[in-house]
Amino acid sequence: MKYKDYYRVLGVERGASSDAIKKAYRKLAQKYHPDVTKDPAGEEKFKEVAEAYETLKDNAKRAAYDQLGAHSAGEEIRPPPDWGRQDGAEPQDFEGLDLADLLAGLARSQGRGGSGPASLRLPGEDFEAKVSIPLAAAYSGTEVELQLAMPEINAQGFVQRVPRTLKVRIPKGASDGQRLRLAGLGGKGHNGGRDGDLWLNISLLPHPLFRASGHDLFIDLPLVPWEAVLGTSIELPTLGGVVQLKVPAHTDSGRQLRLGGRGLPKPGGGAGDLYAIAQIVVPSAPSEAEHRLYEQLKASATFNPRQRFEQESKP
Amino acid sequence: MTTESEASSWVGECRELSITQLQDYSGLSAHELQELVDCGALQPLDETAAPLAFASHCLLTVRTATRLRHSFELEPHGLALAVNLLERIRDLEAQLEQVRAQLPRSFR
Repeated sequence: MKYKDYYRVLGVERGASSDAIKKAYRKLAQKYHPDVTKDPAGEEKFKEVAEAYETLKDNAKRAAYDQLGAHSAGEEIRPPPDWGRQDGAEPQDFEGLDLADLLAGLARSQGRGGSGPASLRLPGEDFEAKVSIPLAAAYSGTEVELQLAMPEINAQGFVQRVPRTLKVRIPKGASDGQRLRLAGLGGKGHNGGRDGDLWLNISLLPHPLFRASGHDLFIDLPLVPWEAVLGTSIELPTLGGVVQLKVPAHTDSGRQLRLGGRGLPKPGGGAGDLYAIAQIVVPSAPSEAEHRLYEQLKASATFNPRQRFEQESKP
Repeated sequence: MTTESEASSWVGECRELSITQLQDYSGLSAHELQELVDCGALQPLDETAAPLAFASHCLLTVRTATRLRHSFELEPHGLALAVNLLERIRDLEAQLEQVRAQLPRSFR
């Protein structure tokens, strides 16, 4: 069993008072809580902090933990067989157990830890996992494999984290930040309690062409000046394949051309829209002939795009 | 071990949740949900209706409130304030993302 230095995780001395431990926990929880933090490593850090606090806030768990002595974090330790044992109980084999699960198990076996009587129906634990999928997978649905450490009760009645691979189907309908609930794939319920759920927090990976907002998609549509003025018809890529898009004459830069139902599918049916945003681009190195044509255009054109400057700047 | 799920559902797939569905999905009791309503952390669609019904996104609110209450031992009014502020932040972030998605790639 690997030793975890809970005092160090919370940044307090081994002899710290309960108040000092609570204060240190709250400070770190405000920084790393998954509902608050933007730090990608925050959630993992919060788990460590919460695990440390769960042990050190409980006098009996803290005493059992302190009995293990001071070690370096990650150091392999072997508690004495009678560690945490109640009178008359058989010595325990702690092989393969996680320290936090073991401490929680000791609390349960001593009738504490909030789990109540052994006959109480207890629902299984809900799990959350983050999954990043490409936009194309959100469009058509996909299958992902998740590696999770699932708690299971071993022969001695202790909770033990066991690595499990879950293959789950993500149906069409994902958008960035969308949650998928997989009923019954969380921890096992006890004494007839329902199994927990697995919640997937979906994020969409960046795409080289499309940007997603909810179920709508946006794509830049580069147009040369004459296409913007005269109008044109172009082949536009969509997630469902190439479509023909008619660009109307007199299309200004920034104009959004909507293609209804060409965005991401929605969970309840239907789909978002695809917006092509016109961007007028000019050739960086026009040929001599093009240059001459632009000069002719300049000489004959009467259009003034800065007319408003003159009107609005008059005193 | 490989397990495959057959019962999956998107949050927001249905327009509204009954209090029974919300209990089932969140694992909270009706009493606990009523406490969240009473402290203002959870808004039913119609406070005068019986039984209460909720917009489907309330499921995320409930899960957030449950986590915050457990992690910070918040009293009800503090919990309601924290939940409402977090929801405002999420709304603003969603609006920001929407605006960003509409900016040309060269401006982002």
